[in-house]
Amino acid sequence: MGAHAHAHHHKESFITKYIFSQDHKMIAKQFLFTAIIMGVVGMFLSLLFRIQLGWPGPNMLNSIFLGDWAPDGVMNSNMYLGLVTIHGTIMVFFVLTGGLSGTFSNLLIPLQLGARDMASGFLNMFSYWFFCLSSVIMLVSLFVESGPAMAGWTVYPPISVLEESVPGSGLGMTLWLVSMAIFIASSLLGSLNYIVTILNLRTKGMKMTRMPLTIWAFFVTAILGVLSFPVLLSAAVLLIMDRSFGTSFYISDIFIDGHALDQTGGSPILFQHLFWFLGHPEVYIVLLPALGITSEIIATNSRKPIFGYRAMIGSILAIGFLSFIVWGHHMFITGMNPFLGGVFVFTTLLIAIPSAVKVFNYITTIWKGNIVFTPAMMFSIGLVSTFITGGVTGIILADSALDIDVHDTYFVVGHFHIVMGLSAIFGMFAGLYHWFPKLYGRMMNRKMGYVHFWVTIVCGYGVFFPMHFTGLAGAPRRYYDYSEFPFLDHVVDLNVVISVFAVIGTLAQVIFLFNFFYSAIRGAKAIENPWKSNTLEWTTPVEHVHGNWVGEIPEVHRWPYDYSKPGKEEDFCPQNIPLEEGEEEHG
Amino acid sequence: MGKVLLIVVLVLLVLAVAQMMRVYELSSKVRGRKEPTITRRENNMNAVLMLVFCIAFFGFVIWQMVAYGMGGKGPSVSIHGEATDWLIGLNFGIIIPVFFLCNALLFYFAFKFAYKKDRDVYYFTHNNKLEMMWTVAPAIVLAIIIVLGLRTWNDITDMSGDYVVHEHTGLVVNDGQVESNFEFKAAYQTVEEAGVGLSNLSGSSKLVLVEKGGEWVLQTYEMDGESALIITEQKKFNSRNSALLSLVDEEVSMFTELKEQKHIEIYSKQFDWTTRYAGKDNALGDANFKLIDYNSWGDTNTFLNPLGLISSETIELHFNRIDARVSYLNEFLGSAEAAFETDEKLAEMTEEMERLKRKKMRVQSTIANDMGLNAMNQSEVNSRVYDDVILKGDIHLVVGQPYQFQFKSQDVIHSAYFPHFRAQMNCVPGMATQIKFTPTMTTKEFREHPDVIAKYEAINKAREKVGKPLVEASFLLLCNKICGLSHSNMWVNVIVETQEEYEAWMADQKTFEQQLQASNLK
Ligand code: HEM
Ligand SMILES: [Cu+2]
Ligand SMILES: [Cu+2]
Repeated sequence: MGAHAHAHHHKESFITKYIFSQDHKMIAKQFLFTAIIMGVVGMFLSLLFRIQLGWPGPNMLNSIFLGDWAPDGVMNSNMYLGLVTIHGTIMVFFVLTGGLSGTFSNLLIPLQLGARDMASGFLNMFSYWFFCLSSVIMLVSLFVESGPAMAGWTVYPPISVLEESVPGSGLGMTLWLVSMAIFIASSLLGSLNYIVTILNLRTKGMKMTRMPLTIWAFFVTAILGVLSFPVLLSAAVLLIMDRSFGTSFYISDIFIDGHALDQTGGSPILFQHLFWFLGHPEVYIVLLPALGITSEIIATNSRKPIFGYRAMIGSILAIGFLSFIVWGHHMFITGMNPFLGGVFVFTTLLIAIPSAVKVFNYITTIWKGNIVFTPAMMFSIGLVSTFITGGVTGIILADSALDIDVHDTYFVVGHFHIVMGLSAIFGMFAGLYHWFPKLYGRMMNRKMGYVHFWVTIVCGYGVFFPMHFTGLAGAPRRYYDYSEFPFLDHVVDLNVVISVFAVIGTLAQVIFLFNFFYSAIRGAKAIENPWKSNTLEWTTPVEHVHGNWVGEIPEVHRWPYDYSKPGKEEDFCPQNIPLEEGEEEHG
Repeated sequence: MGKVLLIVVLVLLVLAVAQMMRVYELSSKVRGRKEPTITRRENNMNAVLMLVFCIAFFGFVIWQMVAYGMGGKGPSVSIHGEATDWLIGLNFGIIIPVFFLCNALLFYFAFKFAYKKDRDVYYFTHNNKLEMMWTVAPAIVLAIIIVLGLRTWNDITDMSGDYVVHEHTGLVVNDGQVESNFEFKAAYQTVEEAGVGLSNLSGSSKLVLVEKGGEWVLQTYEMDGESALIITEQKKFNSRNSALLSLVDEEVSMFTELKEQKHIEIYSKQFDWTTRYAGKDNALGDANFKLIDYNSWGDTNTFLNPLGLISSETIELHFNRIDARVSYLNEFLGSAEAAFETDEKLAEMTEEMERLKRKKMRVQSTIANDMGLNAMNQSEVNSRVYDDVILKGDIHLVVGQPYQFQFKSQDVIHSAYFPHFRAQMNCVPGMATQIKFTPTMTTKEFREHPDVIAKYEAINKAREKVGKPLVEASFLLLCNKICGLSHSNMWVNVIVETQEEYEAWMADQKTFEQQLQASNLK
């Protein structure tokens, strides 16, 4: 197979090079490109509903983009639910799962481990094309006449089963389910490939304990995906059965639209268990790669070893393990047995320990470092800050007695946007700025990067921080208008603040997009190792070649964090440099 | 406040636009140039910005904490709510310092250790002691949070405790109504347990007020040994107020009240709430969704049974309607008129008929049998439901009265969110969920609370400016689970009042039995 594939690659047509490519670097770019498109759509949807929340009433954007769903420019409240549903789905799954892992696991696993390609280029290609297909279906669902899915990104039944309950639970929901099923297939193919590659294709000397933390993070992420996505797939299949074949896995005792349904015996809560069994690991599937990327960038740009390499690996593993036994914290008020609730409080709060260790280790890494503020480094610092901010509010939510009070309010929206919408997205931006030279052989413009970072972090906190206060004042999430609740009048001006920051923040992303595409075509030419980094990808030529290295694959002699090692001339020492006589590997 | 915000925001907007123009300018220069390495000036500027950002960010956070506060809902108005508020205060007391400290360190180090050519970088790979310390320290703090949190959680979710003891002090008469301060003491499962428990409450008075079948009994008790309770005196009153007036007359200022938990059902559907009060017997009648009639199918009797309550009459009514519909369909399908209908329509009608027949059989074999339509417990089932009071709209509760709520849903999941009571529970079709809480303040008292007065003065001032009608504080029940078109409009008021006000209001409401009678079904 390997030999065959190799021979094939040498005489490439346009189609095998750019479209049905099996080269991991090209596939990474394909994932990235698709994710950017999805990200733009997701962002645009949020702009529409943020404007609705800040300034309820008619507006031009609604008339232009929502058509029949916005008679006289006033957004229909079902459409509001549709927009938040698709926004959430796109951001969580398509941008931060498919986009983040798809881009960086594909790009970096072979390059940082010293492999010529992924274990199976063929499956890898399929993984991308499934992703692409599922993205297209998800986008198409926005245009069906009865509207896209409107049940929230968590698609809880019965609302997702009963077409009578919201129009989006008709064709829109069917497309959502089909799209997600294909997405899951893509994710599984990708994850299996990552795991096999990491276990089998490391170059000589690349022991597991010499792998960069990025790879550790991608590794655990892939394992989480393989173990949890199949559960979502089963949940989705049962949902499809309930919708189309009259089974009653999730529904029971329902009277709707003038008649009692025949189905009895199912439980809507069963779906929630299945969904969150994926759903919670999913938040770490989103965050871990970002943390891995950050570990790499912070060490490189602090010119200092990452502090506590083994503790970092340990905490990734601990987070990965614990994330499977905390899902019930999303269900404290579904009527679950209080004792069970107590168990979930305990396990959830345990997760805060490895998370705290990571934060302290990052802070110690930059302490007494020598920081070079590349845009990547700045986004990484932003990630650490937002991870602190979002992590501490998790502690309030994990305390079930308090969750009764804040569950499903804007407090939760603030919490998870700070850890996902900021931390994980910052990780993605950091990775793009950092590895752009590896992706496109050119540099991104730094000054635009600075402006992008500062406007984004200011607006990011400006959007998501005030949400904690509207939540504490009792504002439920997923309401399309808060102006008719006098008890919230005193925080209603925060909604305007949030929306203004949201509009500016969205505009700031135009700078990024411009910088990205412009630099990809016209940016300054990159050199081989622009950040003076230690990892193996920076030993490959700037122009992409198949098999990654022209000659032999370099051999690895040391861990990846020998920055500013005493006794060295330079402040970095790549992994392929042999230990000098008498040099200890690391202390 | 609003204006200042607007100005700040506008300034930011202008800055952003200016920046973007600059960016555009810069980008036109990018072309063809080799990206130079970072200059010292750039690096230092970003380092300083890190510090500036940190300070501005902290300022933004502190401004919000001062202007909006952690207690945006106002004082809690339930017994457990006070524990919740205390606990959230404690948790914030822990996480806010952690938030400030970690962010401050992060940004300060970023500022302090900006690149210098000759800086001595500390090659610091790990330190077991340090790492152990910051694993153990969070673990200890979290252990405290877990223990305190679970204690409160267990108290809140403990559904036992059908009897609740309050201790009242400071009786005052106001407009002929007696008002008192009360303190929640304990909850017990049976009256006997409560009696024994009472004697263990040090400082409790020897006077107990108990409600028994609509009468109010004032008992003086003494303990005989460890566990036996003897009642030495009993006086009966026909309202709580008259019992209290007698206490005022005798200049008693402290007594204990034993209150039975009242059952109440909150029934949700797209997009409204229906409340069912358990009535005199304090037991909710049985229900089954199959008995819900939304359509009387041309029946002249327009009585509908929106909660699907079970009584001999509702079952009979339901069967009659099914029979009527089936015979109508049957007749139609056999008639000449049928020839003018499309095949599709005819198939639909046939299916409906079959479905109704099936349904009737099922209802007969389950509900009707269970309740023993032909057997002895029929009257028991009926009496449970007859005195229930079913009302759409505002919910009325009595201050100091412990409630056990049961939640149900007819269609999709809703969530009953009572922000002022610090209570919330999902309403899930196919199952009944429960919570309990005891209101501690009447709506009137809440409106007179200084925090609430201040909040609503500000709100009304702002409303006046834009010509919106003025508002008064009230408690709400809101839907808090995505449920469709009017999700954000699915709310009712919760009115907390004194026992006397409640009784006066309740006297005007019809029981289920009276509703049946009014529709000539009984
Ligand atoms: C210290 C660590 C964390 C703790 C203790 C924690 C705890 C919680 C809890 C208890 C909830 C449920 C709140 C509710 O629905 O009432 C929640 C919601 C959520 N968390 Fe976290 N969390 C932590 C970190 C994270 C991270 C790192 C992410 C993602 C990168 C994340 C993403 C989310 C999301 C997406 C939701 C809301 C899902 C929804 O209802 O739509 N959390 N978190
Ligand atoms: Cu979770
Ligand atoms: Cu609802």
